[in-house]
Amino acid sequence: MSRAEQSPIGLHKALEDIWSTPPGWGQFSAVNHTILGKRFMVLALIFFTIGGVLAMLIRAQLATPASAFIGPEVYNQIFTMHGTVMMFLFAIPMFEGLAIYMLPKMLGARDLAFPRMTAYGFWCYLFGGAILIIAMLAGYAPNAGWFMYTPLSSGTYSPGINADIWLIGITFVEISAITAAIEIVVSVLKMRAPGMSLERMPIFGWYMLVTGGMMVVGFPPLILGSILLEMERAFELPYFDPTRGGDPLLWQHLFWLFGHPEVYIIFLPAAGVLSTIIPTFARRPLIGYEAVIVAIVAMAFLSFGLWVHHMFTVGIPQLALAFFSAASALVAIPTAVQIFTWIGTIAGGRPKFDIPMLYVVGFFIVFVCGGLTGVMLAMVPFNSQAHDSYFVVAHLHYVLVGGFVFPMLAALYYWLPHFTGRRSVYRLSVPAFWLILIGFNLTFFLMHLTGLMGMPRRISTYPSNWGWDWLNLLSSFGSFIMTMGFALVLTDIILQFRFGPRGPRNPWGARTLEWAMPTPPASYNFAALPAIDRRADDLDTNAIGPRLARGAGYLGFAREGRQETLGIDTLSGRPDHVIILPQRSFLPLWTALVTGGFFLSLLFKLYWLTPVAACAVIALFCLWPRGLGSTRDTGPIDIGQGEAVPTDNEVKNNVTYWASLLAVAADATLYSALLFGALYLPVVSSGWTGEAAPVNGLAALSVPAALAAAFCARRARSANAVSRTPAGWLLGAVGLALLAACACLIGIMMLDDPTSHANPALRLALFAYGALHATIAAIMAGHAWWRWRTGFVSALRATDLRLTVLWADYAALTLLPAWAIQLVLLQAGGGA
Amino acid sequence: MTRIIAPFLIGFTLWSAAFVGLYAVQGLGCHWGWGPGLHRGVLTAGYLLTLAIIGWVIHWQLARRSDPSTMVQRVGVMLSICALIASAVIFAPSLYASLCI
Repeated sequence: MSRAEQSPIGLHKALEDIWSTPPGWGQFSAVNHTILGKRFMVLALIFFTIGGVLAMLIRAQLATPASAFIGPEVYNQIFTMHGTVMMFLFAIPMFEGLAIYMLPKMLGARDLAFPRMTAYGFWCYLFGGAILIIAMLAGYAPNAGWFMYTPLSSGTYSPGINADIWLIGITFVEISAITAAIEIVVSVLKMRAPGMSLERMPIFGWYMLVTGGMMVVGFPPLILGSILLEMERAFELPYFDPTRGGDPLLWQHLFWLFGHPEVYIIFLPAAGVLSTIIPTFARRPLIGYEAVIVAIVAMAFLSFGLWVHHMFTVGIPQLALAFFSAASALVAIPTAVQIFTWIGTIAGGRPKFDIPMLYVVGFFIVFVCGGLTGVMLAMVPFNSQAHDSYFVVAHLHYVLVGGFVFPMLAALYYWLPHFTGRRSVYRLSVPAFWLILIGFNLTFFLMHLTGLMGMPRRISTYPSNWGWDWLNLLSSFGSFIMTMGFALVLTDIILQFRFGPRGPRNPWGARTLEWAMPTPPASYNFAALPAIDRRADDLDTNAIGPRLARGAGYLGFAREGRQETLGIDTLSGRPDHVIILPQRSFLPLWTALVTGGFFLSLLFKLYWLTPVAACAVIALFCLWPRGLGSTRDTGPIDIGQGEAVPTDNEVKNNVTYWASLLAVAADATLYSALLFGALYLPVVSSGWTGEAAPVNGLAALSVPAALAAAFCARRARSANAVSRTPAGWLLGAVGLALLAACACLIGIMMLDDPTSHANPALRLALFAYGALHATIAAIMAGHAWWRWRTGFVSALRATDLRLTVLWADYAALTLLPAWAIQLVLLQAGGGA
Repeated sequence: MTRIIAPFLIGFTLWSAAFVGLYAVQGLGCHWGWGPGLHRGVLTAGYLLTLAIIGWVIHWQLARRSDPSTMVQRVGVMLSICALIASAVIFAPSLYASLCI
């Protein structure tokens, strides 16, 4: 049967055969974004429940003075785990799950750019989270607070593996966050429906693009901090030990360089949800579309310039305080711009109220209060008084619950019909909302008062004569009311899944693309991809949906059993290539399991296993591209609508290359944080006296070797471009990159005792970074050689060579500042 | 890629660079024991240079706008203006705040 003659049902069956995931064990091979998005969200809600139970234990303990309900040791574990679970295991994965599920549907694609990476990220999240929860149940939960300040979290004051569990478990979970961020950015930029130019993109796409970008540069400082702290705990390398040239404030800088943008990373997706829901219920497009884009980009940048407001009381000169105080206050303006656009949209429309709008109203009330106390805390004199008190606890809960949980509950009720294809029963939704709103404010508003009355955070109990008794009792009472509300929401969701009547396709009359499909959605999203000719949050989805289901649009057919979707020119939205996505596979699961083995070997100090596991992870990753790409040039292929474009492996700036650029950007951010640390300690820390040990000259060989490897990689690319063999140049790049890695390792071996002082410890870190990246360059070159040998590389299909050049260049370039800083450290003292 | 993202990022990237630079000058000036005159002078020069560069970028962006302007151009200019205002407000303490205590 020709493509034109295929019936909608026939097309559906043909696409389902290609895109669906088999039941049973086959579910473990799922790479489909709809499945994985739901898994992320369900798992995040499970962690939210765990975090909520921990919160109940905290409030039970604090309900009365001198309570003996939980001892201080268990209390420390509980509040640490409450913060950790809510921030790392609930908030971030929850919006990631929503983005993974929703973005391709809103943007008009059939999946995200890297389905197997999505699956790998999910398994890393599950295993990393499981490490933390199992440790908690076994009584070994982290207990130094969710921001793990040194020296409390250092080996001296936190012996045992509790802190290691946090550092290793969270780093494991962060892999998931970074992979999701790269995937989101690349998908938004390159995988929209034809015609969806940047200025037609739905506003949620803008929010997720900015959030993804923030994650790419926001998370690496924490990963670096965690690695350095684990190195200190495991091997006595004194990065944070002030008696040996380290500084605990370096940890605070690295943590809050991540930690403050994190607040906005959590808020922005929720704001994206609001900017999507409010126009639907206001029955008019969002006003100030461009102003909102300006506001979110400005907010993203400003959020990286106010991390020190968490450190106002550590003893920082007034000029620096003034910088960060001003930035902290100024960030309220782009937030306010968004608030006013939402209010203006409601005021300028014909608003109708339903359950999601209840939570939107709840958001306005709670978040604005949190924002105002945020401006108060941005002021240094007030911050000095309220620092580390329950006022801060109240503020952060108003911001995070107001700015994330309320919008997410709105999102849940808004998109639940999309997940289930059913209508809400609604008997429980309204009382649930009021219980949550009243319970929340009763719990946390009173904490402002206890904070102002001097109650410090993290205390496990308090005497009865300080006037905090009834406020704490009411807070605890409120928290249980709020919990009942959440329990009702959970029950409501289960009831909708079980008893909700079948609903219409687009129950809210929304005008974004995710509603132009049957609900629950098919595994391939769209039988054909739409052509967009206006802003994509003002579409007639009820008319578009049936047309697409008939296959009227781009790629409205099944071809050669391949998972095909379209790549576009980022700016104009013109389709410029067909992306052939990898199909379901167990490889992500195996790779995540072995990655888990790598982290567990570190946790249990089985260091002989660590390199074995690392090599196994690399070997598994090298298997991922097997079978991807093509061994012959195919040229442009039909995409429907009378157009033809090449496949992704025959274009230069394909999604793989974009993702690698973003990975390099994340890596470079981590490296910048390391360079910052290497400059910060000699300048700020005490104990940098005496003569620093010299550097072994052989190690300097790493620089010319890495530069030569980069040159060889470029020559290989040039040779391939004119259809000459790149093999010799690639093998040369492998050899030279390995030589550079060996030179760095010689530098490490020739160092003075790196446990003696932060100076040699920093030099060790710089050498190790250089060795690692030279090795990566060698692997990339070796892999490109293998792909060329097996016929996957040609003058047209040159992605492997472009990636080799990228990583070889990066490996060489990183050695230049590394050596500049080695020279600074040589002059900085710190011999003993 | 640069062509696409540069208009969005240029203003605040300059703001970020200035933030890092001024914060570093503040710390290093104290570490190296610069006198208050030199220290204040370098910070003031950095402040004014930042405003001048971002101001010039805005001028350049306005001059390069097509007619009618595109959304990318409009948003780019607005973001650079925001970066200029943010720089003027946030870095203003370089002119008067206590340097090392």
